[in-house]
Amino acid sequence: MVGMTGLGAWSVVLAVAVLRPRIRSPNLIVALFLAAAAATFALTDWRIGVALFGISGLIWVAAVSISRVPRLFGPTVLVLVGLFLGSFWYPLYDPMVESLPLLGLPYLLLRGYALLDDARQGIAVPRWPVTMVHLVPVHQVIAGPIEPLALTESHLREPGPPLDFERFVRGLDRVTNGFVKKLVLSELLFQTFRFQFQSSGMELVLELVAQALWFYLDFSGYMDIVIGAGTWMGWEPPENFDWPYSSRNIVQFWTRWHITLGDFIRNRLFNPMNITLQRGWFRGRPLVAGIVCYFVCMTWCGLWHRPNFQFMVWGALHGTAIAVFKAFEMLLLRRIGRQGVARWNANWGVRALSTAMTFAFVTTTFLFVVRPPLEAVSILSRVVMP
Amino acid sequence: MSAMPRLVRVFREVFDDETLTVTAGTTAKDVVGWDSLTHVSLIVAVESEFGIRFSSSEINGMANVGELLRLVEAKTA
Repeated sequence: MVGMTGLGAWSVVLAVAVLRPRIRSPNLIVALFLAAAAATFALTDWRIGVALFGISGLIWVAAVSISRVPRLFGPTVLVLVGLFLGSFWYPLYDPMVESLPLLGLPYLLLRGYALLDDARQGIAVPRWPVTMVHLVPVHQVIAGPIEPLALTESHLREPGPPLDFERFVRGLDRVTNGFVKKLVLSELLFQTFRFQFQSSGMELVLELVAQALWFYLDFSGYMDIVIGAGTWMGWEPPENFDWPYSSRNIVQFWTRWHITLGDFIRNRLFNPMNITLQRGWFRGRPLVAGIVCYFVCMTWCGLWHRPNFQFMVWGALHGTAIAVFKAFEMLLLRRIGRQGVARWNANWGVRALSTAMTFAFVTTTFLFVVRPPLEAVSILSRVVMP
Repeated sequence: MSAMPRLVRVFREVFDDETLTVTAGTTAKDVVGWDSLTHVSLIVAVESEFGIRFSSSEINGMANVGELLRLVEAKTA
C-alpha cells in the first residue's frame, strides 16, 4: 500500500516535470501545481488535503483582509497559534488530526505567518491561486523549506526549461542521495545503536554522536529528495543544510542547520522583537535586549517543533547558549579589540576547539528532545560517572 | 548634502571604533562584530540620529551600507 502510494506520488512529480515546460501561461502553471497537490493528497489521505487547503484558504482570506486593515494582524496570528496548538491537543485526536502536525501544518502556518506579515507591511499582494500553491507546495509540503510568497511567484512565473538529460541526472543525483541518507545510512545507524542510552562512558558518547548523525541524515536526506524533485519540476527550493556540524559556534550552527527556519526566526521574530525592545524598554542596552530575544525566539523554536516540555527545554538551552556566546563575543571585543578578535577567529587551535565544543553542545542537547530533562541529565552524568 | 558622514559617525559610535572606515559597498561581513544583534543596535542608532523609522522589511532587506544610505536619504528628503 505504502509502495503504491509512493509510486503514485512520484508519478505526479514526473507528470509535472514533463508537462510544465510545455505550458506558457503562468496561471496554468499555478493550476498544474494545484492539481498536483490535490492528486497527491487523493493518493495519500484526502482528508489531510482538505484540512491543509481549507486552512490555506482561511489564511488567504486573512491576508487579503490584513492588506486592507493591518490591525487585524495580531488577532489573526493568535488564531494561527490556536490552530497549531489545537492540532496537537484536539480532544478527539483521531488519526487524521494526529497526522496533521506531521504532514505539513507547522510549515504551512509559518508560511502563512510570513504571508500575513508581508501583507501587513504592504509588500505582498495575496492572489488566491498562487497563495494556495505557496502554502501547500506539492513537493515541500511536509517539512519545508520556508520561502516567502515572492520567491514562490518567481518559481511559477516562467514555463521553465525542458526536462533534459542534464537536469534529470542532477535531480536524480539529489533524490538518490536523499534516499541513501534516509533509508540506508540513517536506518543503519538506528539498527546499530537503537538509541536506548543504557550505556556509559565512551560508548554513550558514541551513541550520542550517532544520534546527532541520525538526525542530520534523516532531515537532510528528506531535503535532498525535495530539492531533487524540485529540480525536475522547475521549482528548486533553497538549500537547508550546509555542513552544520562543522560550525565553529552555536550562532553559525543556526545559519547552517535548517537554514530557512533560522532565516525565518531572525527576520520575522528576532529582529522585530529586538528592535521593539531597543526602541523602548532596553534603549541603550543592546546586549540585554538581545539576550531576552535569543531566549524567547529559541524557546519558541523548540515549541514550534513540538509543543511539549522536552522541546521547550531544548529550545531554551539553545537560546541560553546563543546568549552566552554573544556575551562572550562582546567581552572579547572589549578586551582585545577588533583586530584581536580577527586574530582569535583565524587561530586554528581556537577554531578546532570551538568547533568541537559546538558539536558537543548540539549533540548533547539532542538528548533533551528524546528524553525528559531529568532523565537526560541522569544519562549525561554517566558519561563521566559510569 | 550626503548623509554619509553622519552615517559613518553612527557606525563608529555603535562599533566603538574611531578608525572604522565604511563605504557604500561595505557589508556586514566586512566589519568584525556586525551581526544580527549589532545590526539592530545600528538601526536604532541611525533612527535616533536622523529622526526616522525603518520597517521590518527595510531592516531585513539591507544588503550593504549603500542601501542603508539610500533609505536614510529617501526618508529625510
